[in-house]
Amino acid sequence: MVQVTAPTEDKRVHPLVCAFVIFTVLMVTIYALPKPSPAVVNNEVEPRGTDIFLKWNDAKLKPNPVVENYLYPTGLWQYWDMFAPNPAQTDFWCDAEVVFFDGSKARYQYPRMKELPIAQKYVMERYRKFYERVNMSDPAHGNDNGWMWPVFAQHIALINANDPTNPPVKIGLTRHWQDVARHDAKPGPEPGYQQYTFYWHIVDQTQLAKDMRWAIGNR
Amino acid sequence: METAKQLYRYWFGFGSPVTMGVFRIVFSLLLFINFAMIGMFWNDWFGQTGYVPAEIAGRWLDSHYLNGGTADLWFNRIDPLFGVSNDTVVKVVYWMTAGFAMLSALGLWSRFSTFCLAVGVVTLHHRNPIILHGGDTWMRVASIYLALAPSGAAVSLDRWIALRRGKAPAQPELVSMWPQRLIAYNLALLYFTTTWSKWFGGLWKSGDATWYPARLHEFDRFPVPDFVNQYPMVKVTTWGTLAVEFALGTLVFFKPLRKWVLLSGIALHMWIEYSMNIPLFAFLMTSSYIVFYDGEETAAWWDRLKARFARSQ
Repeated sequence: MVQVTAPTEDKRVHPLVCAFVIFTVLMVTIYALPKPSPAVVNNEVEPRGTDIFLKWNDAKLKPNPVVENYLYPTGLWQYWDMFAPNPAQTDFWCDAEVVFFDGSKARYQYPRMKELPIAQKYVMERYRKFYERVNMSDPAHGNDNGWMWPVFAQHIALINANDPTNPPVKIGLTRHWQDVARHDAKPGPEPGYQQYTFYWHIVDQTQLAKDMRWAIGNR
Repeated sequence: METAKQLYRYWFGFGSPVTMGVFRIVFSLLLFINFAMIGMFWNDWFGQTGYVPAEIAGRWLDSHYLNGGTADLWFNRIDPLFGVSNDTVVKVVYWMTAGFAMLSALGLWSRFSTFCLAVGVVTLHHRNPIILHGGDTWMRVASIYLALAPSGAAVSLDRWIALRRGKAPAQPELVSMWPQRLIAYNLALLYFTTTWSKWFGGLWKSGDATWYPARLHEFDRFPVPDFVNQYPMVKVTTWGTLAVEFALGTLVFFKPLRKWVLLSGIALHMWIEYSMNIPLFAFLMTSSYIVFYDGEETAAWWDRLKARFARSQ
């Protein structure tokens, strides 16, 4: 019952094409297979059932140089973990405190999807995605993206630089987050947002002047 | 032996190129829309003074896709922009790629335009991998497969021009199905592996997972009636998602169920599109479902549609 194209015995594809297709299928399958269950990844339990295979795939096949050198340069790298293994349970957004040369302060609102009109949030969703990555801090699994914060803050300084005589000198990045009430919690109002200024950036004035094309003599 | 022959015929048999032609049009148009949307904020995402200058993108790629930077590549990535920090050059490549998406949709110089589109998409994804979501990954992978296919052999300006010049047969020539099968396989793999991955999450198994995304306000889109995000609907939508995604990864190849599996996939994605702000994701996925139909089936469906339209005139 599998859909099959009408046989055309007189036409055959080149064996090298067949080899390419089989190779591609094998490579993308190895790479796309999920990681074993979180408890196995964290070495809390011994793998059982399909976890044995997935752990072996993760340790031996995925990091194989042939797999990496086929998928990474060509752009065929892929993984499919949308809302998996569990969906995110924290809502978060970001704003920044901008401190100017004269000591004055201003609040900069990094695009927050909830506050935007529907059409605008559709085209600006990449800002949420970007901040999700900036916000990612899980050093145990090699996902500490704190190295992105200086560039993130420097760009916010650039956005807020309007006056060469009074440039931003310091940027404080503030994370706002709300843990979603658990599904088995007593019904009640939504928990409020908490906030924490997670990084203070001293603005690189040379870079700022260069990016703004400010002549140094103007300042 | 018979199974092997059947498998060979499924993957490498020859058939109508109509499905790939239709897929090329819709998919390329979505790519163009995607480029137009991101292009509105071009400097933030691709400019050297934006959030992701070239060196940040490079560091992200190495740290996230090379086992934390421990693996070595034997070849350079497909990335003509590697080492380029000139905004004008990057901008030209960006908008040329958008242009190739439009040419590809029209089916003009299809081989060339789909090839350039794939190179452009891969290049731009290497230039800024930090803002990509699952739909973008599918966009990149499918555009590579599209470039390998003779997708301009049907429903294209190329064919229309060749017909006018008397250089094309009345019926499109049959083509090998392997590029279309690659897309179908990879699409099913996507659903199969995401289901498998979800199975490891306690919340999916217990039927509670959809409680959470519905309460992440950064994803809010159109208003949703409250009962949908309460029990017992949470159980229905959680297990329903698992069932539909599993079917899209497996049962979709079983012809008697194919239509129902795909319709349930469309319903799932349209619900996500309505309720959650994940741009173009639903359209990218559901527009690809056509690859589960052979070109002969697509052409027959079009003929039936035309006949019905003619009767109603």
